[in-house]
Parts: sequence; structure tokens; C-alpha cells
Amino acid sequence: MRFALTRLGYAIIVIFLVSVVTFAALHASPGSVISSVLNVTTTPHSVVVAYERSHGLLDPLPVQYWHFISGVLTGNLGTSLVSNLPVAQIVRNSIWYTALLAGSAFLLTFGLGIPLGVAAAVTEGSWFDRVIRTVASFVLAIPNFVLAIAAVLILAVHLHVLPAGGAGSFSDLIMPAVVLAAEPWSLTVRVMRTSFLEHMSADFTRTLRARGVPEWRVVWLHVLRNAVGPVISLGILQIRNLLAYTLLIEVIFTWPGLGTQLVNSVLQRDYNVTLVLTLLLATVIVLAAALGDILLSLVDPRVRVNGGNP
Amino acid sequence: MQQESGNISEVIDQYAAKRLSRRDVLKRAGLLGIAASAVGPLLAACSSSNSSGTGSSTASGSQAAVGTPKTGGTFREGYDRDFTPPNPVANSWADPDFNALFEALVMRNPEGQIVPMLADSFTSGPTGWTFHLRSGLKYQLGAPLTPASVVEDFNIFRNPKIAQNPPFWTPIYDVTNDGQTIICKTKGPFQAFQETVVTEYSYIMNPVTWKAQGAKYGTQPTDGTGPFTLTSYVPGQHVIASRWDEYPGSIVPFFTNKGKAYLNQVEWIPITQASQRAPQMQTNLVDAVKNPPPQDVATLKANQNLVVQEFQELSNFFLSVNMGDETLGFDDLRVRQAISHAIDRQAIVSSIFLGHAAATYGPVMTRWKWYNPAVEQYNQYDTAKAGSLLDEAGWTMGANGVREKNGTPMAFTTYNLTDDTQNQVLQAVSQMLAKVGIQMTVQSLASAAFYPKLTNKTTSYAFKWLWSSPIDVVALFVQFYQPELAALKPVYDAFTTWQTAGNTAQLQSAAMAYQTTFAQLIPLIPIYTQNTIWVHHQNVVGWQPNQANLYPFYNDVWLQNA
Amino acid sequence: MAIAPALTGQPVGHRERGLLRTLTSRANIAWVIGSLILLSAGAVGVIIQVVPSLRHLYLNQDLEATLKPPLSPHHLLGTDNLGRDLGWQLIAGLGTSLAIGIGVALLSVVLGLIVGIFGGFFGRAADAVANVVVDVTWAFPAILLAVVLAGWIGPSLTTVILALALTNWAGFARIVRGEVLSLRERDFVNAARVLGVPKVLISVRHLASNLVPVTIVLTVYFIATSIIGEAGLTFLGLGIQPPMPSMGETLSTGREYISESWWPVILPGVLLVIIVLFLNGLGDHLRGQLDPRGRVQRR
Repeated sequence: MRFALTRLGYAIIVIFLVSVVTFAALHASPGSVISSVLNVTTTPHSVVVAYERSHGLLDPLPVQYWHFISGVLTGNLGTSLVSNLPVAQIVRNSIWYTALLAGSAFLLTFGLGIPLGVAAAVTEGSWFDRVIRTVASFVLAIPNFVLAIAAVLILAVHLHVLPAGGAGSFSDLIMPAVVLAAEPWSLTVRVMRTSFLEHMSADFTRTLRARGVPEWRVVWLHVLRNAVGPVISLGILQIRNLLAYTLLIEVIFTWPGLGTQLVNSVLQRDYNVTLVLTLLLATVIVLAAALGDILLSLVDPRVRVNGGNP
Repeated sequence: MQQESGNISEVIDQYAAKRLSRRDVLKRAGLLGIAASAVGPLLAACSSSNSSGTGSSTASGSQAAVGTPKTGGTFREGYDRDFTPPNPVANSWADPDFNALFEALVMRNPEGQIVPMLADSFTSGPTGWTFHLRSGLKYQLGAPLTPASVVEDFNIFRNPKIAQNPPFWTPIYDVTNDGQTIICKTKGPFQAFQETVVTEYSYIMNPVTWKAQGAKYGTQPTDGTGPFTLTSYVPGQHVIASRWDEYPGSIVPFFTNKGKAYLNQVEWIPITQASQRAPQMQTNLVDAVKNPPPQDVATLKANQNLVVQEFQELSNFFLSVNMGDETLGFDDLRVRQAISHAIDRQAIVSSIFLGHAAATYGPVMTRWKWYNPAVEQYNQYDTAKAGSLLDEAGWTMGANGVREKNGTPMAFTTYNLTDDTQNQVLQAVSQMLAKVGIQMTVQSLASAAFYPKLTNKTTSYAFKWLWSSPIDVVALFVQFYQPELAALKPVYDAFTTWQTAGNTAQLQSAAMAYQTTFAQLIPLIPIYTQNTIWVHHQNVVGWQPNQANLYPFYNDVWLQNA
Repeated sequence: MAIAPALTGQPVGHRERGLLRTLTSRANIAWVIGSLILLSAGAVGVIIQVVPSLRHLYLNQDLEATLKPPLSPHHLLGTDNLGRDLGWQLIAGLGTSLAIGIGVALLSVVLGLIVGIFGGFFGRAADAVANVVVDVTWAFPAILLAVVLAGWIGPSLTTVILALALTNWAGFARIVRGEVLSLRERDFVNAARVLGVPKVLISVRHLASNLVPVTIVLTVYFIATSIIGEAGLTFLGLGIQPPMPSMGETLSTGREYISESWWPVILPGVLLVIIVLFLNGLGDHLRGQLDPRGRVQRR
């Protein structure tokens, strides 16, 4: 319990530092949000200054940071500098799309990865095992946006079986979710298979067999339960990759989630939206890592001795 | 290449015999000077002749479909940009939703003439303009559309402390009303106002609502007078407008529907990735789409469920070199002319745009109502001339293939707004310039980083204007982004003549004169105007883009399957 | 017992054969040849970009011959949308991408080693600082860094290398720290400490040299992920600027012509997959040889 609290406190410090770094970096980068808001070719300078003043862009940076962070802490995320919509509304509008996409990919990854990994391990050396392993290592080598482009070319442009993009119906979800799941899926299959094989020949398995426990109980209850551990820690590590890749996949498939929003707001220098979205992503990543550590510490008390870092 | 091109029937025959790809045909047709829009149907006819041969023409232009308009349905329109809040006062880019939500006092018809809209009559003269407002009108939220509110709108639009286009309103020193008549007072003739009063940034809105909503304007019901009201504004996803059932009807002569709109809703969907537009259209994710990339047009035209139309965009793409830069010699007319002569615009048009664009040698697009073809005698592709002009100006060829003068190499960076097509054009231009010894490096920047570069301190940038009043916007560019120079006085004078023209005939001749002066001095080097390509499903009736306006109107649109 | 080699700076560890010999043994010959082919193709790609008189090979445009299919006369792999030779574009692009991959890998490894050793070997306070730096970096999206850098120094080769390296090194630092934590309790390190050898020297001599196998394996994986990362950033308009070719540049331009011609997107795509497949395979192979305990997890 004490470890869990320390670990969470540490996570909060990290998130706070991420917010400072993001804020500083964003304001340090040249360029201005003005051109995303006003027609800069005709707008008189006085209008630009009035805009900057009314949006607090002329305040000293620490003051701007204070406005931002105190707003976040009191539940006021501010408004977009470009569209004037409340940032909370922008997040609400897109978070479900990202959750749906990332969630489906996560389900595909483990829903297909664990059974296939186990099946390959159980049939070790057979043609099935070889096919699964070959497919997994091949899929692992295809960068997901190359897979995305190939999928669009074949399935949408030539065969017309799936839509090329958009987010209006279930069929729009299939391609981006499968593409996003491909890499973590192949990793899961490999790790599951290896871990399962290790545990099949482990001491405790032999002891169980010697005691006359039926083989199906050994395999499906004891081995599987123990072998799934590395897959779970892999899954936690994969959350960061999944979020990073979601950015790219959303842009390719014009999927209106947080990634598309983040890319747009960064390019438009919409500081308010960018800060909130970055903080949101960072929070998910940092909390996932913390949660992973806490879970592992419950399983393996040695982790606590080693400090907070996985 | 000339012999290879042959004539169009030969080209089409070769295509039918599968010896040429569709792309080759379009390219050769481009070389033959045949608009791609004319070749498209020929190719479509070719490919369908094997099977049924009865396919209805996919030719551009008039609506083939007839029948009684049906009420209802949602029309989904794909758009090539993301949406800004629909706010006529402060907005970086007016989007197609403006034409559904708002109306102007007067409007431009497809031929480019001014016709009544909210005003039923108007006059212009040496003391200014008057507009007589239709009676019995109201704003969408219920307030009456009073002449006083229009006066207030105009005072907002021309106020340099609030609005963003006051330069276009400068000659007007006072706006008042006399009963239903709105009076814009000037000290002299100002016929050019007809080009400003019809733009999206002069659309009429209830000033009370505008003031009350403040920065939130455009994210909530906008309270204009258009046939649709704003229901939902979600940038990156969609903008939705619903029919305004109390719309009093329209008197615009080129609208067929004089009553309220047919559609229940219009939904605009931003499709910012060019390569997504054609596939989304083909898989019915949208009913219409703006600007699929040129390379996808042939495929769309071959689809018999779709109608493809194209018009020249109200735009022009310029390469600008800073005339204040004397070390690189951009102050020297001969150097600017040499750059212009080195650019093979026809090759760019036929290879990169596959004919869906036009070369420009003057400030405005070639299909503009007052285009002056005399500009074409200047700035034509001629590398020999480019070379001799540079020699004359003292820029001699250096050892590494880059020209030099007084030890300074002719090498510079051009900033460009990140855009796939513009990038390719500039890559091509860069190599064309390299052939005459000019080294141009292209640096593409996203808008937030690009626009701050647009000052008269930047050595070179490339930029496309998109505006329904070409002379105004070009003059603005020259004035803002070139240093004020004596050499440019003829251009400034020509603009003054335009701004003080007293009637349409004078305005036209001022426009023509401005173009020749510009082409002679080239303060900006014109390259091309691309076509706007509009695609819609056969089901859609009355969605009719035109040459004179940036976007179509929604009064006449209905769906056959509603 | 391990005092002598520790003092003389001899390589220490569980391996009996020398590193170089391991790498050039018979079982590895196919991998060595593959690496040489990849590196020489990359070198050619860099040379034709650096030598001005060779640039025409991949830069020369022919607007009369755009998007010609493979096996066209003069263009074995066809041409791209500006009529440039696709084969040379791919070779030059391979050069850029490999340079980026190697640049990112080296930078990440140096940063990762410094921070990892610092954290693992210089006491609790140092460890806490290193951990915070690593965790903050870990949570910071690469795209944001790329935008900031692209704003500062313009979108370019340097931008891509810095953006990828500055977001990638954190993972490596964690592995190094873990290694150091276990190494510092080993006899030879303790012995050196007892004998008063300065900590910095111990880090360089013993820790770094013992980290060589892990580092080599990770470098190979890093090259593969960085090549993919470059393509991703360039795709978002934050990476390489034309006319400089790269795998990402060729791919994202080719993608615009996807419905018309397959080769400008399929050829770079296939090349990219082959390279990544090779580098991953090489990494796995080296791991088997150098890291039998499986300390390194890919990605």
C-alpha cells in the first residue's frame, strides 16, 4: 500500500514536469496561432494585438502557465484559440473515437494473440506453429503505415470492399483497428509462445504431472496462468506505442480522434488544445507504467526493494 | 513531342487500343490544348463502348436530371480544408458553410455581374453607393433585419480596430441609412466596391448576436439570414446546418427555388488528405466532394454514378522575390524577367496538373471576366532569353553551374506553405531555374510557421491567393510584401485607377490596364491557376458551382433519393 | 579472483571468444554479407547526394515521362510523379534513411549510456534525477518535439535525427540502468572500488565495456525503428524536405498516386519491409550470440 502511494505520487510529479516541458517547448517554437485565426494578409496590426491581449497571449509566460495549470486543476480546460470551442468539448468529441480505435486494437491484440500463441506452443514444431511464427515475424517487419497504405490500395481503391477512411460506421473501424493491432499482435504471439513453452518444461509442471494431475489441468490451468505474466507486462509497455501509432493511423485514415486533433492543434500552434491533449496522453502513459509497477509489486515483492522504476 | 502528339482522335484511338494509359491521353490532350474536361467524356465513352455503351454522359455543366424537387434528406459534402468558425468579421478562411448560413446585400451571378439578394435594388455614383433593403426580412433567431443593423454591420467590417478587411473599404468614409436605403458615402467614384460587398466578409449578420457571443461567435447559431441555421460546429469532424423553416424566400435571379430550402440538413465533412477524397466519394461516404487531386479525376469521370465539373479556381500561384534585395539583383527587372522566362509553365500544367490548370503570365486567372490576354506576350518560357537577360544584368555563369555577380552566387531559399501540389510545382521550378544557373532551395512550412515569413524582409516565398476579387488581393500583396519602390509606381498608379473607376466599363478597362502594367514589371512572378474540381453523385440535383463564386449555393439543392 | 583483468582493463564477462571473432564466425557469414550489401547501398545513396556532379542521377526531372512503369527504357524501376528515376530515388532515399537510422541509434546510445550509468552507479540522488528525466522523456510525444525542432531549425535531416533520438533514448537508459545495478555488485567492480579507482573511470572501463553486447543489439533495433520513425514524421510533413529523398519521402509522395500507379508506393514499401526484416533478423541473431540471458527486449 505504501509502495502504491509512493509510486502514484511519483507519477504525479512526472506528469507535472511533462506539462512544464510541453508548455515551454510549445512557446519556444517560432510561429504564431494568429494565422490560423485571422486572415493575416489583410488584418490590421491593431486587430492582431487586440486578439492577443484578449486571449492572454501577451502575459508573461509564467502567468500564462499559471492560468493554464490552475484551470486544469479546477476543471476548466480553457477554450481553443482557433475554433473558440471549449477544450473540454473538443476532447469529449474526439476521445471516444480514440478509445474505440485503441480499444479495438487492444482487444484484437490479446484476443487473437494469446490463443494463437498458446496454440503455436502446444503444437510446437508442427506446420501450424511454423505458419504462425512466420506470419508473426513478417507482420512485425511491416511498419504500420506501410500496412495502412497497402490496405487502402488493395481493399479500398481496387477491391472496394472497405471504405478508405472516415468514421461513420462499423466498417470504417475495421482497417485502422487491424492495422494498429498488427504489430502488438505479432509481439504478443511470440512472447506468449515462448513463455508458454518455458513453463511447460518448468519444475512445477513436472511436479504436477508426477502427482498425477491430468494433463489438461496442467496445461490450461497452471501453465497458462503462470505464462500469461510476461504478456501482461508487455501489454503495459505497448500502451505507449499504441498511443504513438494511433496518431499516425488516425491521420492516414482520417479518423477524427485525439491524434488527428493533436496533430492539427500542434501545426496551428493552438497552445490550449495542444497542452491539454499532450497532458492527457502523458497521463495515460505515466499512469499505465505506475499501475504496471504496482501490479507487479503485488505479484513479486522484490520489485519494491528496487525503487519505483520498472 | 510535337510529332508524337498527333491529333485528338488519333490519341483516343490509341487509348481504345490500350496502347496508351489514361494518363498519357490526358497529358497529350493537354499538349494539344484540349481541356481535360473535354477529353474525360471521350475516354469514358471509349471504355464503356465495350460493354453496354449506353452510359449517360459524365460531361460537365448543366444538370441532366429533371423532375419535381423532393424535400428532405441530408446532403454530405466533402471539403478540402478544415472548418474555421463561420464568422464574417474575423476568420482566416471563409468556408462553403457561409453560403448556407448567410446572405449578402447583393450577389455575383455565374457571369460575374452583380444581382439583388437582400437588397432589391442598388445604385453607384461619384458620391458612393446605395442599397435598398427588401422589407419584411428577419434574422434566424427572430430579430427583424433593420437597415440600422446593416449599417452597424458595415461599420464593423470597415473598422480597422475590429475587422480584418478594412483596406478594401478605405474609400468609404461614412455609412448611414435613409428609411430602407443604406448609403455608403465616398469622396469620389468607387465602382470597385462591387467586388468587396459580395465577398463572404461582407455577409450580413445580426450585430447584436455577434456582440453578445463575442469570441464564441461561429460555434453557436450564427443568426444570419441564409436558408440554413448552424446546428453543429465540430472542427476536424463536421459542420452541420439545418433548414430554417421561416426563411422568407430569395429574389436572387439565378436561383430556381424562390422559397425555403429543400434539404433537411447539409453536413460538410473536412477531408484534408487529398488522396482520401476520391476513395471516399467512390465508397459513398459523401454525396459530393471538392478538389480530388488531378490524378484521380479520370477515374472519377469514368464512374457513371458521378458528375465531375471543373472551373478555374479564383486564385493564382506566385513566386515572389524581394525587390529590395539588391545583392541578389531582384531589384533589376531583367533578373525577374529571366526567372520568369526560365519557367516552363505549360510542362507544369500538363504533367503535374494533367491539364487541370492554366499557365498564368499576369496577375489574374485566365478565366476571370476581365482577363487581359495581352499579358501572354510577356514572361513566356524562353531559356535562351533568360540566359541573355542574366548575362546582360551582369550575372555570369560560375564554375559549378550557378551564376555569380561580384562574388555573390545566385542562390536563395523560397518558403512555401506545406502542400503536396505546391511542393511539386516548386520542385519542378527549382530544376528549371537550375538550368539557367539559378539555385533555388524550397523550404516548406506549416501555416503557423509560414505566415510570419510573409514580410517584406523575406528574400523569397511562394504563395497562392484565393479571393473572389483578384485585382484587390494582388494589389494588397504587392503593397504588403514588396518594399515601397519608385520602380513600382506604375503598379500603384494602375491600382488607384481601378479603385477610383466610376462605372463598370471604367472598372473593366482599369482592370485590363493593371494586368499589362503588372506583367511588364512582374513584382510577383505568376505561375499557374489550378482548376477547382467538383464531384457529385447523380442523386444530387441543383448543386451548381460556378466560375464567378468560390462556393456553390444551397437554395436549389435536393436529393433524388430523399 | 577477477581483480587482475579488472585492473588491466581486459574485457570481462561470461564470453570466452572475442567479440570480433564471434561476429565473423562461420554461422554469421550470411549476416555479415547482408550487412555489407545494405551498408554499401546506403553509402552509394549518400555519395550520389553529396557529390554535386552525381546529383542528376536521382534529381533529374523529365516532365514528359512522369510515372512510367518499371522496365521502361532508361528507367529500370520506372519514374516518379516528376519523371525522376525511381531506382536512383530509392537508393538515394536508402542512404538518407540509413544515415538517419545510424545517427539516431548512436545519439540514443550515447545519451542512454550516460544517463543509465549515471543513474545506476552514482548513488540514490543521481538515480532519482536520472529516473525523473527518463520518465518525463518517456511520456513526451515525439511529434511535439519534432514540431518544436522543425520550428527552430526548420524541417530537415537534423530535425528528424534529434526528434527521434531525444524521444528514443529513454528506453535504452532504463535497460542500461538495470544492467548497471546488477553489474555494480559484481566482484571486479567492487574490487576496483576498494582499490580507489575513480567512479568515472570505473564507469568507462568496466561498466561501458560490459555493456557493449547489449548496446550492439539495441543499436541494430534502433536503426530499424528510426527508419520507420523517419517515414512517419516525414509523412506528417515534419521530416525530410524535398528534393532530398528518403524512404518516408518517396513513400508519402507515391501514396498520392495510389489509385493510378502502384510502383511509386509499392516499391519503396517493399524495400522498407525488406530492410526492417533484415535489421530485426540481424538484431535477433546478435541477441542470440551476445545476449543469451535475453536482457534486451525488442522495442
